[in-house]
Amino acid sequence: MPDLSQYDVGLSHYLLLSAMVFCIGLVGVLVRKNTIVILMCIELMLNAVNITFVAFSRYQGNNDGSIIVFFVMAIAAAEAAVGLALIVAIFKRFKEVNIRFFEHLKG
Amino acid sequence: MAESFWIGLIFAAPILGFLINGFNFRSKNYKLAGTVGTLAVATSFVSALALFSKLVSLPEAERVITHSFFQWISVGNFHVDASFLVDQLSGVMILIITGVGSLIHLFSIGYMSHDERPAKYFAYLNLFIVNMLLLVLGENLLILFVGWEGVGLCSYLLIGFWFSDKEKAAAGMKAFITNRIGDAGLLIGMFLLFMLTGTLSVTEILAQGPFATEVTFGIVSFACLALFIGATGKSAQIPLYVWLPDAMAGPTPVSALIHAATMVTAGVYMITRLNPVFMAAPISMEIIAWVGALTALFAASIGITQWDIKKILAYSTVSQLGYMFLALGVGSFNGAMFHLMTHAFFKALMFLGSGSVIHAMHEEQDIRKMGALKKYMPITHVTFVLGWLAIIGMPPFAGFFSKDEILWMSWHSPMGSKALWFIGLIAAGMTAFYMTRLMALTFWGKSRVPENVHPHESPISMTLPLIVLGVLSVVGGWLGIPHVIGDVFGHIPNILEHWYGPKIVPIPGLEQAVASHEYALMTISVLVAGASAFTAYFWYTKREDIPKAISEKAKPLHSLVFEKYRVDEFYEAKIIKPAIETGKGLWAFVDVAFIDKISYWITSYIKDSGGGLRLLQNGNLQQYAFYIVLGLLGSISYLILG
Repeated sequence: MPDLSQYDVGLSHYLLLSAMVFCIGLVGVLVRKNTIVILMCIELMLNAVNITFVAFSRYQGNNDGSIIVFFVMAIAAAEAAVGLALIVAIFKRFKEVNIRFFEHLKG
Repeated sequence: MAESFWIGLIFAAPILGFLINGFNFRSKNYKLAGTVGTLAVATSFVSALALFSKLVSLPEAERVITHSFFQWISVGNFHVDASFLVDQLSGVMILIITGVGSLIHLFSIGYMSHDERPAKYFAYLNLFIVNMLLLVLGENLLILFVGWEGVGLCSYLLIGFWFSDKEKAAAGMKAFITNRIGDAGLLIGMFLLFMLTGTLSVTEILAQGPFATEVTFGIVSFACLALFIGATGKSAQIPLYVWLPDAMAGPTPVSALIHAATMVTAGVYMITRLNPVFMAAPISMEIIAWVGALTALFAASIGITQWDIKKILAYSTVSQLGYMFLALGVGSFNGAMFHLMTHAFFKALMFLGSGSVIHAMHEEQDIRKMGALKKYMPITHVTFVLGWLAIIGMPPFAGFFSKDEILWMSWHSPMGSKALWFIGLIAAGMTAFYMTRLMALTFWGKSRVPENVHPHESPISMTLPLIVLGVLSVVGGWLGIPHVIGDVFGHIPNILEHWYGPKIVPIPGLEQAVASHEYALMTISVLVAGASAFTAYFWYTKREDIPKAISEKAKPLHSLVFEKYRVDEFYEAKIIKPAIETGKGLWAFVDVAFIDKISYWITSYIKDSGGGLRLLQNGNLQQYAFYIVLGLLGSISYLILG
């Protein structure tokens, strides 16, 4: 069995991973035009935050952070439901799901 | 009751009437509107009577009632109170305004019975009464000015009352604009008086007297002349008289109330109010006398040639106002106020009489289409005859005494001259001629009434005011019987002269009247008036071919006079057109090329910078998200680095 102690995965690794995922999500939100992809990117950002929570929860040895994750997931689900409903509405109207069409929501 | 109550009531009643009819302006119920309006002014008349009797009961030297309601303006040490002054001058004026006003309101009920908007009409009429009372009762020249502008506004509204007719709307505008020119003069006069005395309160100004007589043309003369320009606008004197004949476009009772009895005498009243100041400016007084005399002559000559019954009366009004200014100019303020009163009676009577005729003739105003109305309209005819005798100056009717006092004073006063008297005499002869011509063509002679028109006597609400004014036109002059006549009948006093005495500066160097001179002048003027009246009667009832032949022979002169000396055309060509051209030039070169350019430049600058900023907020959601990220980065870097 190889010695993995020199590859010990610590808190900083989790945080680094979380930051990378968050940035991927952020860039996706800023540059992608397809609204479904943007929604997925938002999901990435939320989950990046979740990783942070869990990591800190484990690091500190209590469950507070893990509990917040459930809240975040619940809110993410709700957000996805609303977002998808909007996307369906936009698609019905324009036959496309480009983010630019959401400008029409301003009336 | 307290004076303040009556002073309050004299204003409150017509204001209330104005509000009731004003809020109800769509009402077509002419009886209700007319009753409200008439009762309002009648209430004012009762208050005026109460104030006047209070004034009479006071000892002669203290005949002043003032009441200040509140402080209106207070800037630094300049204060204007909303304060009102009832004295010998304004006391008589409020009686005339509310008394004649009530009669004319009553008359209007019948006259406006077929109108679309009677409530609006009565609302305006009540508003006029309010403003006229402000004008005469105002203790401060600023209050007088408010009333002065207010009556101008009401005059405009009522001249253009039937504004759907373009010509009538234009007549209203003409009156308003012409009056504005005069008002500028009035304002300048007020400023100069303020500069001289440091106050605009009439009592305070007059308390600074007696004023030193100005031999050369100085600041007092200039102030008086400016005030007189204001008076020429409101009181229709040369050169600003042009609006008054056109003002006949309004309903006839309005012509009677505003353009004969009350508003147009505002200038006479204002000058009399300030008579000690004017007496200090003999040069201005001479100008006033000459302008008055020439206006009297000029307007009377136009009156001879007109065919419209109201136009004749309008020129007659201008001419009679000229007499009043002649009286003012020769220093006979008493004569001016006396003629103002008698003129208010007989001219209101004749305007209402003409209204009765016009009403009966179904809005026909051309006297060529009348004639022999005597048998259809007996009451109107009899009362009109009284007014006619009064205006042509037959003794013992009202006009004889007042006109003769003016003619006598213009001869006798050291400020007058024989030339002024002679012009006045000629004008009196012309007055007798055109009024008799009017009577002959309207009431006497052969009937020229079109067959489809059936004239009828007016209802009692219209004839009653005529009767009252008819009586006043007879007895009104007995208040000012000259001493030479009074002495013959056992010392009948000249009540008016005595009454106004404390308020009026005596003419310096006035000699004792020589009775034989005064009798001689009286006889001459009565003979001239009688002869010219008889000529007119004979020509226009028996020999209509003679005036026709004369006007044919003197065609150029006749058409010049008939076209009112083409003064309107002259003003149009020499003043209005150039003014419009200048305006257009200023518009093109100053407004468009300069002012507009600046504002366009500023707006385009703002627009461009706005356009630049707009790119930041273009609705692109991802761009907004990017701003959030930027903000986030900013805050984080601040936390880490700062």
